[in-house]
This record gives sequence, structure tokens and C-alpha cells, in this order.
Amino acid sequence: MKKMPFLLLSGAALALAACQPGGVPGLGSSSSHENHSEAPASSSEESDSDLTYDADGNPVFENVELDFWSISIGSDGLIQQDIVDKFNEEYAGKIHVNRAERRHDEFSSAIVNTVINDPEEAPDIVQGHGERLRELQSQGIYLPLEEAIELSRIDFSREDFYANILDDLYLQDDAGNEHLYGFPLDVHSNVIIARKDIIEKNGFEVPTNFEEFIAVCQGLADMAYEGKYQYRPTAQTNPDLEWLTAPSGTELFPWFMSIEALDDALSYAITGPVQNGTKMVDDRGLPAWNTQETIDYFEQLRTYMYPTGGKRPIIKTAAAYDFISDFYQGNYIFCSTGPWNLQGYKTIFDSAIGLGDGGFAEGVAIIPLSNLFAMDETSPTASSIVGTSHAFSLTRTVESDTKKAACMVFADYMSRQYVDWIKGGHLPMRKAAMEDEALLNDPFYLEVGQYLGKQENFTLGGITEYYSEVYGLEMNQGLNEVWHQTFNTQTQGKSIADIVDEQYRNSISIIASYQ
Amino acid sequence: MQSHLKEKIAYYLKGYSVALLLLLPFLVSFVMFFVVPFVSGINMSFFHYNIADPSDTYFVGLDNYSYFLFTPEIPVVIGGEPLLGPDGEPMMVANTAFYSFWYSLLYTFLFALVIVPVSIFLPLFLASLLKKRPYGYRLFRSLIFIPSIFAVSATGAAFVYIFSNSEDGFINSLLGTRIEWLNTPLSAWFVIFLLCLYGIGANFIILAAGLENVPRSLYESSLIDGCNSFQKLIYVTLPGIKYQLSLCFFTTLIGYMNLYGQNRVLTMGGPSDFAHPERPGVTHTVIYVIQDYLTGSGKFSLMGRISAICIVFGLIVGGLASLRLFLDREKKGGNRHANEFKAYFEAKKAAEGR
Amino acid sequence: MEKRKAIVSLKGVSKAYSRNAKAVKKIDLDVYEGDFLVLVGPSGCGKSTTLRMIAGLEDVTEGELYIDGKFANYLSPRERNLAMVFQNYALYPQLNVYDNIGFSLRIKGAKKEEIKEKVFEAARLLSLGPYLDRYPRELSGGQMQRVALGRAIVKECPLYLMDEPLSNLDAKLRVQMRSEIVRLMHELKGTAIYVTHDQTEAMTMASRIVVMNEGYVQQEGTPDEVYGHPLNLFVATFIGNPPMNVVKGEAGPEGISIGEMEVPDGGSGLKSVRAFYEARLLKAKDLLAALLSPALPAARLLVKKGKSRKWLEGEEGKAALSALREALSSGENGVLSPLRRLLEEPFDQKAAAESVTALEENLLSYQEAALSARSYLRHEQEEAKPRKRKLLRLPRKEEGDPFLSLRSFLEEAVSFYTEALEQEKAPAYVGFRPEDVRLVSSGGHKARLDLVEPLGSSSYLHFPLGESDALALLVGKKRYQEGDDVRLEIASDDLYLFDPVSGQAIYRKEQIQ
Repeated sequence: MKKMPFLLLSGAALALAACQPGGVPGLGSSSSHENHSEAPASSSEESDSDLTYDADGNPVFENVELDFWSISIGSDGLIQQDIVDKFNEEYAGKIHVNRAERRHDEFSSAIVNTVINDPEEAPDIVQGHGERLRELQSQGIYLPLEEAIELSRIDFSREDFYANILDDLYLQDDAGNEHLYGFPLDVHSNVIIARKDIIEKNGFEVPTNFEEFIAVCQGLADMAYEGKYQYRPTAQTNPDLEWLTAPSGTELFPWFMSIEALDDALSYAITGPVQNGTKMVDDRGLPAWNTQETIDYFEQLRTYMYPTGGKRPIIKTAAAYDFISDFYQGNYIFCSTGPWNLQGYKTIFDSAIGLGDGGFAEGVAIIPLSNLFAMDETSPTASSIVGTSHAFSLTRTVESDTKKAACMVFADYMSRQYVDWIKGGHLPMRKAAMEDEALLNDPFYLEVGQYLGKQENFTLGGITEYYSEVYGLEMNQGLNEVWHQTFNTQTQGKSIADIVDEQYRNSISIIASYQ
Repeated sequence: MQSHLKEKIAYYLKGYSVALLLLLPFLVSFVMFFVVPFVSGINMSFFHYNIADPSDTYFVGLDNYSYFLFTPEIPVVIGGEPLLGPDGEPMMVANTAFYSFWYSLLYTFLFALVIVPVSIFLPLFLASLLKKRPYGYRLFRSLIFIPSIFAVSATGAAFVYIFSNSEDGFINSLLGTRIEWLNTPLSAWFVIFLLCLYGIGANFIILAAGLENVPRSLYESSLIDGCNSFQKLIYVTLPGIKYQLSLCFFTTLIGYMNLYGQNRVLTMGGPSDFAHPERPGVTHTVIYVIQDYLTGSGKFSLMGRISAICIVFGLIVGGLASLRLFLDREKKGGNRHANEFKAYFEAKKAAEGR
Repeated sequence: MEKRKAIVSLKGVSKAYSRNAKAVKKIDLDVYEGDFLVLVGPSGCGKSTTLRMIAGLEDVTEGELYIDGKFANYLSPRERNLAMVFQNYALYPQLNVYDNIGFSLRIKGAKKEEIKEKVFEAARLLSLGPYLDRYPRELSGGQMQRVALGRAIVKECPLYLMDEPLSNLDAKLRVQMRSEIVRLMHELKGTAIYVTHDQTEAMTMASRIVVMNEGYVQQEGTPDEVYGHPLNLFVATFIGNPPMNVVKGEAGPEGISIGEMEVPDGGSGLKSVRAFYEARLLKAKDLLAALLSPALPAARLLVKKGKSRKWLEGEEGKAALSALREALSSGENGVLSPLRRLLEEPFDQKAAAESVTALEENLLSYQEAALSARSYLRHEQEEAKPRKRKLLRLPRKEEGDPFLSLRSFLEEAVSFYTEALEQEKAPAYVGFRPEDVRLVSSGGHKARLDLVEPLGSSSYLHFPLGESDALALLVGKKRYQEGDDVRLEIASDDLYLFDPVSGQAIYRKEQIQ
């Protein structure tokens, strides 16, 4: 990152990049890197390898230092650091992993820059996002993992993992051959949290599909307006946890959306269309989401904010992520949140807010996204959840066999620590985990983990090297922007079809500009 | 004749070696961080240059320039295959680089048109008030200057809360309104404008110092010549601080041509121009666009084009800056009046002689 | 002379920047049509302030200013219809010479043709024709000066004010411009008030000179009057180059003795000195008595507390009034007479305050005027003292009680005059101009030369006299050497006597025509 400078006037910064190894085009030679895209070493003959094996056939590691970049920052980063510490302890004297955190928005450019321009500083193994693997793999940054897995002699079989995600980690190299580029770790997405106590008190049930979901929202909004809505603010303002009745004319918006949150965008703008049958990308990795199903879905959403025919609006949007106090007060009933937040909410609900122990279980339902946005519940895509996954990749700067093997040993180890890792909200990719008593009896799993969705339902949405442009999550483009404009008061005059077409052409034009 | 070259070199070394030594750290970094990057940036702009893949580098001539300067539409060709539109024809799409560059340039200029006069005349007005030495003027002087020493990111963060779009924003909750300050083009620019006003302290100091140096006798002389306040401003104050004004004008202009921090912190380049989706967000400035290209995505093959944009924009700003040399040149008198004078008295003499 | 029209008149005009910093003190001055009046004095004497008050650039603190017969205290500069030339020329740097000269006309909204005519005429007068297109920065000092003059003359005002206009020029140019300005004013038949610190300029240019020092006008008159009959020590030493020699001496019954030098005058000097001292002694005694009289504290108390009727009618008030009445009735002291106003019924606090202030100012001005009149000597003494540098400048406190210092001054004066009158020979300062010293072959005063400064056509001879040094200016090409013994003589008519206390000149009968 240090070589990606702030922009100064007159291209000074640009040229910084130019004076890095690799040469300035036309000024110096670029010979030193001409062969970088050559196929990775194909031979694993032990004679010219630096890796040795002991009598049991296990590889011998002696003080191997691995640099590991992780994209998990925040609370799951802390959990991961603990696991890494545990690993370092177990492998003391053999392998030592130095973990460093990279922010999501700098991850790609940091990796490309260091691997190409500053290989000494480049990490050996990285934990990135599976759905974005293609972006970096297409730049020739990563090594295929098969050889390393073989060297490490770990127990790896394709059948051990959920195929719906793992298959997306197999990517084509320049020669057109498929290789594994990401060692699967987990998959995750947002969930909907709902005020179970309020829903039930008002005579509804926690919804499990789109129809029920909308019915509950509309029913609660109508009751509030008619003065029949019963709600229970938490102990901060309501020490006895009494049930109160809202006065008539109260405008209740049960469904809250954080319009600027990337994870909410993934839920509402991507998972929604996918559940309704839209494919995100075509064979060439170009956006293909400009379908009638997408248009229908967003038109439907728009009516929930700008209803016709005397219905009440049920959606509220805000830029802020800070919805939780309104959720406590009973002003919002359904909110989308990352599973890694649940531990914190649980603590607050259980004690500080005053529902007492078990308050969370009593007051809050966790609803996975499956079926929630599908207008046709019977369609095969209705239960899909577009999630993100974490996977380990080897950078092409790893040259020694020992290091390659050590990396795989580390990745394998990490993928087996699901009992700890699920506390970050991440569902294990190993099928075996779901039969492991240690996980199934884990208190966190019982209270939270089991409600996060089924791994079989997850998808990465469609693999493309233009992930940023197709989904437009960070850049307010693509479906993310369609979602925004669906609700934006300034774009009420535009039909959803026009919005979708505009954004589609916009995504295409950005991709075209890279050619 | 002897050349005395040796002595000459020794003489100059003696005279300038210390100066050279002291200049060295600057010279080295100047060459390293300005000259070399600048030259290679120009060079790079004539190439397709991919930092992710240096082998993917080839000469393209002026293509990078014409791409964003003159190409509003581009065909969609992915991997050598054209993408077909719904009508079966090869699809043409708007060239975002073209629109981003020209519209951000337009926005940058329009904003500079507003902010530059304000950030000169407002501090000038304040400085002239303080020149009257009101009670506590030292305090006022500091108060006017202090905001400009705060980092834009810090004050910007405060502004984000003050002008938050939701009803919880300080201003919205104070007024009980729900104005989307940062979401409508004019008000977004207005908030950026306000944040920019935080930086007037430097101009204030320069202009205040300039005002102090306008000779008092000129004011007195103009009083005796019968000037009113406005004429005093026109004939004495403004000419008296001509160089300070020109310095402020050009540094401010160049500064705001490079506007980036304020709109980055406050609006992230938004809000979008919904009527024209091919255009950038209405608070995109040229630097913002360039920075977007540099860091926005994982695409690294655009370095040649980015360099070209930088070079063109650098030329525009450099051109503006060199205007100063032209405007600040000292006027020479000529001899119009002198000739008229001669003719006048010759004619008079002739008339008398007749 | 009195028949001429007074264009400017100042009546008791004062300027104070703060309560204790008075720059100009009660000046009375009339400037008549056609005058070339030069205000001259050392820096800080108030001459520039006076000029700027006339121009309207400074407010008049006290007194009345009339321009062209109109009360002008509150007129803006443009309404006073005058032109001014500044020391640093004050040319507009962005305008060329043509526009600079025509500036005031343009502001007035004159027609282009009219401007052209007037500017060209001025340029002709000042020989600025070839430079009309130049900018001030392209001009030499003398040219800039002429442009500044041109700017003034195109206004065709009856009154021209000039504030040290030549002081930024080199010596040779100054001499040239001096005569040019006089010629110009003569041609324009204008009235000029000209401020300078250079006595040579004053002597050569003025039709009338006003010598100022420490805010007081020291003397007013034609150059000849000021040179020939200086009114006090300050004027005597300020006007004339080289300055007048001033030495301690005595006036005796036979003549005036200066150190070992005796100049017979038949006792007329002694007579004049005695008469002068007697009058001064009386005045000093009067003032001292007034200062020490119980009337003054009583009056001050009344002014301070007299606002309240209750206090006035109370015991203290009555006591103060009766004390004042008693003090005033007991002696025939004219100095205290303004206080009689306090005894009028009913008691008017405002009027009382005014009369007490007037009395106090009258008292104080005795000392101040005396000090300013002899201050040339005082300056010399002060400059000898090394100045202390203070790291931290504290706000200046009022320096003691001015009345205490006045009291000691008066007491000293009384004792000096009393002693002087008792002696056979009366002590006084004796002054003579270096050019009045003659060399004689026999008789006269014998002296050995300390230093000789040859000037070509003349020489300065320094010789010891009494306790100090004196200077003689000898015209002629004869050269002297240091250590030469010479004989010197001064005519008694060329000797000036000065009162060491008040600095006033004491003229003998035969000196007054």
C-alpha cells in the first residue's frame, strides 16, 4: 500500500508506480517479469524439492515463518487471532504464522502491488473473499493449490466440502485448465432479526417466507395506525417491561433497511433478485441481472415504501447503521444484520436491556434469508442465499515447497476450528462439522448458529472477474444502485425498468473501459 | 592566455558548496518524487500499461488521450468478442471515462468560480475590518485563522454530523426539518462550500499583512483628492495589495482545482445525477475521478489512461498558474501621452505664431 | 500686512493623542494669502501634526480652525479645498504620471479635454512632458517629487500644504527643487504651508517662518527676524548653521564676560538682565504663591465632590467654600483670579471644573514653555545619558505629580533670580554666532585652536571658551593649524543674553531698534 500514493498534481504519483521494479515502459527494460505468467512449477519430484518427510511420511517443518494476511477485521478478527495463536502454540518450532489484517477496500490493491512490485513484502497465504477470488486470480496473483495440498499430505477431498461453494473456487487458468485457487473456510450472509415477542403479542407468527413476511409487516403497520399495536420497549424506558399500546395514527415502519450498508445491499439487492430466479452473470462474467424478474422484484419493493390503493408503507430506509435502539424500542420489527453482531445484541438483550436471562431467546427471532424475498416459494432458487465466503489462497511469490506445504497445513487447521469460528457468524464449509457433536452442542450454536441458514442454500452469486462492476456494492453501481433508486424520492419518476437498464449499461461500460 | 579553470572551479565550489550541501536533501527528493515521476508519467501516458502485468505493456500513441478526451461512446468487446445488444447489433455504451473527465472538470471549474472569489473577498473584508483595530482584534485574528489549521478530515467529520441527511443531524434536529443536505446537488455543494470556507485563514493572513503595507499616505492623499470609500478601495487598497491578491487568487484557484478532501469526506462524490446516469456524481472533481480510478477497483490496466488524464489536467492547472506570470508582469509606459504632449504644445505654439 | 486676507487661521488649536500626550499646544497662527509659511522644528515638535490638522487628516482636539474664513474643524479633507504634497510623494503606483497628475480631476469628474489641458500645463511647468507615460517605479526621486507637485497644482487650490517634500532627495537635488518650488508657488500665486526640519530650507524658502518645539510655537517672523532676533535659546540655537555658540557668562557693570573673554558694553547688559530677572522673579513668586495657596486644594475638592448638592450643603462643602473664599480674599494674586468663578451662586460644577483646569494648565505651562524654549540645551544633555534597554516594557505610569515638579522648578527659579539679583555680576547664558567672531592682530581674546576644519572658502575654528568649546567661522583662504594661537574679538552688538531658567532672550536697549 505504501506504493499506492495519494494523488498529487500532474501525475507525479502515477509515475511512482512506474519507477518500481518492472520498469517504466519504454524507458527501461521489462524483462525481469516477462515470465511471471509461466505455469507454476509442475514437478513435485522430491529430489529437487526443499521439502523432506519423516518416517511416517509427514512433512518436516523447521521454523517455517508464514506471513498471513486476513480480511477478517473487527470482532471475528479477534477470534481468528486466538485461533492463530493456538496454531502457533501447537506447531511451535515448526510453523509460525504472522497474521496481519487488511481492510476490505485496500485488500485487492495491496496484494497486487506487493506481489508484483515488492515481492519481498508479499504475504505467503491470504484469506480473502471467495466471490472475489476470480478478480485477483485473473491478474495471475495466486497459485493453484493442488500441488501444495499434495506436498503437505493433508487429508483433502472435494467431497468433504459443500460443492455449491467449493465449485466456485475452482477457476480456469490462462491455459483453460481448472484448478482450485481457494481453500474453503466458511460462508456467511446477513440474517434478519425480528422482534418475536411483539410479533406474537400482536397475534402474528414469525414469518418464514415472503408472503408471511409482508403480511406481518402490513398487519403491524395497520394495527399501529388503528391504535391497536402493542409493543414493549426495553427496560431503559420501560423498567417493568409493560406492554404498551400505541395511540391511533401511529406510523409504524416494521421493515428497516440500512441503505448504505454493504451487507444489507447483498441481502436486499442481490439475494432478492436471485431468489426470484435472476442469474447474476453470464458465461463471460458479464452482468446478466437485467431480467424481468429483477424488475418485478424491485417494483414490488417500491410499493412497500410508496404504496397505492390505501395500503400503509412498511419500509423505512436510512443511511445510518444505527437502528438497534429503535429495534429495542419496538419502532422497527425487522432489521438486517451481520451474524457477527448477534453475540453483542444477545448480551444486551439478555441483561442490560432488562428482559433478563434468556431475554434474547424470548424477544428476538433470527430468520435466515432463505425464501424471504421469493415471490414464488416453490421455485428452485427461492431458498438461495447470496453470501460471501472466506477462502485461503497462496500468492505466487511462495516458491519453496516447504512453505507451500506449511500454508496448506495452516489452512487445513483453520478450516477445522469451526466451533470457534462460527462465533464470528461464519458457517463451516466442512460437511463433517454439521455432524460434529462439539459444534451441535455448543451453546452459541444452539442459540444463534443454527439459525444462520443452511450451507446448501448458499451461493456466491456467480463467479466473475468483474465482481466490483457487476455487483457494484462499493461503488453505488449495479444492483446496489438500483436498490437505492428504488427508494430514492428523487427517482420516483423513473420506472424500475429504466433504472435497471441504466445501471446495466453503466456496469457494461465500466467493464468495456478495461478492455 | 591561461584558462584558470581549476581556480575558477575551486572558487565557485568554495562559494557554493555549503549552499549545495544544504540544498541536497531537497534536490534529491525533488528529483526522486517530482522530476522522475513526472517524466515517467508523461512517458506512461503513451502506453497501455498494466501494473499487474508489466509484460502487457505496449505503445498506443495518443490513444489514451483521445479515449477520454474525444470518445463519448465505446463498443463493448470482451475478450475480443463484441457484446450484442437486444437488437442484435454490437452494443455501444457511454464511455464513463469521457463523461467523468469532462463533467468533473466542469464541476470543478464551476465550483472554483464561486469559491475562489469568496475565499479572497471574504478574508479581505475581514482583514479590512480588523485593520481598524477593534477591541480584541488579536482574538478575532486568531479565531479567523484557527479553523484553517484543522485537518479537512476532522472538520469534515464534524460537518457530516452537522449536515447529516437524517432528522438526527444537528441542523435538521435544530430546525426540525428533514433536509437531505448531502443528497441534493446544490445543498451538497453548499456544504462543501462551507467546509472550504474553513480554509480562508491563510488568505486572511496574507491579505491582512498586505493591507498593513499599503502606505497610509496613499489613503490620505486619496482623501485629499476627494475619493469616497469605494474609490479608495479601487484606487488605493486593491492596487496596494495587488501582489497579495494575485498570490491568493492563484494559490486558491490551483488549490480548488485540486479539490478532493472536502467532497471525499462529505459526499463521497455523490449525489448521483439521476437524469444522466453516464455522468459522474455531481460532486466529482477531477482529482476525485483520478483517485477513483486509482483505488476504486482491482483493475490495474488503466495506468496509461490515468496518466494521460493527470497530464492533461496538470497542463490545464499549469496553464492557469502560468497566467500569473503574465498578469503580474510590470507594465511599461509606452509614450502615448508624451507624444500627445509634444503635439499639443507644438500646435499651441503654431497657433500663437500665426 | 494685516490687510491681507487670512487663508488659514488657528485659534488656540491643540492636539492630544491621549490625556498625557499633547502633540500641539494651543497654537495661534494666521496664514495670509501669498505667504510661503514654513513650519520648522526638530522631529516630534508638532509641526507635521499642525499641518495634518489643517489638511483634515487629524482631528482638532481643542481650539478653532478656520480655512478661508470658514470654521473648518469638522470639514472633510475634500471640503477644505486644498492640495497636499507628501514626504514620500504618495503616488499611485498603478497609474502612470499622466493619470497620477490628473487623478483628482478624474475623481471630480472633469472632462477628458479639461484634464488633458491641465495635466499638460502642469507637465510643462514641471518639465515632465517626456515622462508622462512612465510609472512611478520608473522615475527618479526628483521626478517623483515633481509629479507629486504636479498633482497638487492641477487642483488649482488657493492653499498648498507640503509635508517635508524634499527630505527624501539627495542634497544636490534638494537645493535645486527648493528654488523650483518657490518659483512655482510664485508663478501660481498660491499660498503654501511648508513643513521641514531643515532650518536651511526654512531660511531659504520662507516668506515667514514659524519655529516650533515641543508643541509650542517658539517664534514667528520673517527669516531675518528669526535669525537676527531669536526670542529664546531654542530658536537661537536651531536657526543658523553652524549653530550659535552658547556659553555660561556674566553681565557685569563694565561689560559681559564669557570665561576669560571680556566684551565691554558699558553696563547696558547688566541693566537689561536685572530688569528682566526682576520681572521674572515677581511672576515666579506669584505662581509659587498660587500653587501653595490653600485655594487650589479647596477648589479641587469642590470640583471633585461638588456634583452632589448634599455634599455642598453639608459640613465639608461649606468648609471648603469658606476656605476658598478666605484664600482668595486674603491676597491680591491675579493668578488665582479664575477661581473667583467658584464663589458665584449657585455653584456650577462644570464651570468650576473648567476654571480649575484652566488655572492648572496656566501653572503647568510656565514650566513647560520654559523647558521647551531652552530645550536645545536640554536635548544635548539628555543625549549624553546612556539609554537603558528594558526587556519588558511595562505600561507607563504617570510620571510623578506634575505639580510637585512644578513646585521645585518654581522654587529653583525664585532662588536663582534672587541670588542673581543680589550679585554684582548677573549670571546668564551668552550666545554669539560663529560668523560674528573676528580675528584681530592685537588685543581681543587670546585663544589656542583645538581643531581646524577647512571648508575651502572658509574655515571652522574650534577654541576653548570658559567651561566649554566655541566655534568661529572665518571667511577667507587663510589656513590655520591646530595649536595656533589667535586673537579673537566679538562686537558687543553681536552678543545675545539668555535667561538660563526660562531660556528667553534678553535684549539690551541698543539691540532693539
